Amino acid sequence: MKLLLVEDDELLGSALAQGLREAGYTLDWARDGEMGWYQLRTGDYDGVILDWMLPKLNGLELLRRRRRTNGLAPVLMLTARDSTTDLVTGLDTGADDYLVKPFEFAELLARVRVLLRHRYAHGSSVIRVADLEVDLARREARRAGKPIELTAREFSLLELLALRANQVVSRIDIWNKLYETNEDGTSNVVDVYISYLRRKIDRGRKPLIVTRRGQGYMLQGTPCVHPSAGAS
Amino acid sequence: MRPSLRRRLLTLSAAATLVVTGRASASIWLMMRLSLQQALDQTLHAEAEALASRLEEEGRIEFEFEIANADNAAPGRDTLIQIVADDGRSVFSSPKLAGTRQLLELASQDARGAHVLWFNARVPAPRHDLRVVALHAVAASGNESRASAGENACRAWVLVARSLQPLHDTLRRLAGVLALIVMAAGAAALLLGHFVARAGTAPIRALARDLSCVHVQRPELTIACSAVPVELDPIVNTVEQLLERIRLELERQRQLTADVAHDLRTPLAGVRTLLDVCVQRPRENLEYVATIQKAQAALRQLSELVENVLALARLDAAIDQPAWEMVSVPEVVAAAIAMVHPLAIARGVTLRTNYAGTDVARSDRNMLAKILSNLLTNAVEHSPASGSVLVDVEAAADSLRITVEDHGPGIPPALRDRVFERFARGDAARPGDGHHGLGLPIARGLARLLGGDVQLDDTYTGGSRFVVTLPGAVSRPVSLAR
Repeated sequence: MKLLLVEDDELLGSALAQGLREAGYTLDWARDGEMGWYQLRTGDYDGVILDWMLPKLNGLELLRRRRRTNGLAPVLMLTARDSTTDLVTGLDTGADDYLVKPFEFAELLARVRVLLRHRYAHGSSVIRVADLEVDLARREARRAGKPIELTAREFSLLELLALRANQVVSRIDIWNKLYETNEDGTSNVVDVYISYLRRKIDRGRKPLIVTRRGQGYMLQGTPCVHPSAGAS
Repeated sequence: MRPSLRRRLLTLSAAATLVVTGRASASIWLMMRLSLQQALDQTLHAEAEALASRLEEEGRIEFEFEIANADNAAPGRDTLIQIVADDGRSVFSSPKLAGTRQLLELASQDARGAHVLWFNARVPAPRHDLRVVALHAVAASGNESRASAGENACRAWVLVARSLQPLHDTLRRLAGVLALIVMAAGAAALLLGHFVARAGTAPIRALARDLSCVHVQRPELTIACSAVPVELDPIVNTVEQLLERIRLELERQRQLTADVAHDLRTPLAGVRTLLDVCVQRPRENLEYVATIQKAQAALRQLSELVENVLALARLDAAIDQPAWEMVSVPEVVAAAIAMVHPLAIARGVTLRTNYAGTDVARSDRNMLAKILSNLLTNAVEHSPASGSVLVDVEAAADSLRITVEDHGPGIPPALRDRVFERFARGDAARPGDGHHGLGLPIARGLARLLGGDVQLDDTYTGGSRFVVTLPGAVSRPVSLAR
């Protein structure tokens, strides 16, 4: 899952970036509105965390531009303004959710998860593919009831495949989602991570990760989503 | 007792009614008296004429006068008659007048020689007033003319009188009736005035109700202009203007609150997130130390902001008053420079001072230092790297003038009016660089508290120059101050 953070405050921005990365998200951090707009246009993001008051281009204006271009990534607004009119303006302009500063980091994570779930039209935070369970909230995976130990990046990869279960995900898509824009690397690392993931999930069982030569990878199996399962 | 509009209206209407009806009644009464008197006088005169002509026809004074005579010319029953010969001899007198002096004597002496006299006379027993007409008659004997009557002619005064009592009674009754009418009119005016005043002051009560409905947070007067009487326009207009001022002030306060909220919440959010993220998992000791140091720096900035906000609140509420004392200006300037020194070093900015004339002023040491350090901080922050800031102190008459100038980009003309407003900053997009735009408003507030001011020198083009003017400088050689 790749997020764009647009925040000018150095302290809050760096804390959020660290927290979100540690929570397993891939993250680009833009420090002003212009940069944020540039990243949003050029990058492929699953969600945007947008501060309201920004230098150069404020968050509201950025939202307006995004709406004109029919941007899809859901937006969580961060605002220090708590008057109702401000919030209504923000939501009307295209923000999907908002948080008033200061907030609990756990709440921000929860809201980001909800936004991303809506993006992929999943009502629940647990995705089941055959006997594989991917719990997006706890960031845990189980196969046939047995927990699987995964690193943050491995889980991000699994999450991406699970959210698009039974669809081919191209290697460049995977690379874009897993790596920050300014990170170096080759698409070769995608194959490496796929092989790590296969080793942990598919070893000794019916393989779920399928290679489509020249196209990408796919998590294949009967999708079975129980909305109620998210609560457990 | 406080003045009351209703009481005033009531009193005025009753008084006006009393005056008008009173005067009308008095006129009626006077006219009535005049016409009654005239009627009486005419009757008496006619009766006297009749008697006189009879006297003249009879040709003698001594005639038996029958009161009960049914003759047309006979006077009425109430009429009293007296005939007095010129020699003063009483020829005839009505029985009722028996025992009284001759009426003619009661007439004024000036009237002697007149042909006809009208006068009032008072009879003692029974005591009453009479209206008397005296007619001088000449009873000539035979057919001789009056002029040549000579000694044969007999001259006498025919006096006819009637009691004035009936006239006085009538007038008294009339006066009573009129007084009743006046009082009734007064009472009616009071009653009517009560309702009129009530109805008349109703728009005021309606306005008061409308005003009482004005919400403190949304000060708007919702009255249709057409519904308000023209006379209340001054009040409504004044209230409207007052509400407009309150609206502007509220808007300013709201903006200020939003600004304070933003500037307080952003670093708070930073510290909270920093700590939330930090405790999410176990970390190396070095990481903890770095986090704590970051939090410390943010909290230092935050407490500085809180101090500034509170300082402004204290200025607004006029809580702090200057502690007046003789202050050595170079000492205070040095103290202010010491406060800003670390920042100046960090930014590579040189601070220079220049003294001229005075160095002692009657002021408040801490406030003056705060004014200068705020201006210096502002100057250093806007200076280019390795730039310089000049503090110039000079005395003009008995005032102190301190200028602080930098060689930064200066303040754009569009922002010059707003530079002393709270949270006004160079960049409208509010960069999070620790500038809160409170230093200059605080400096100005403190300078004004000291009886002076801080102003931006528009004429300076080499950066920005702020001028502090303060009263109370004392000229003294620099050497004596040390």
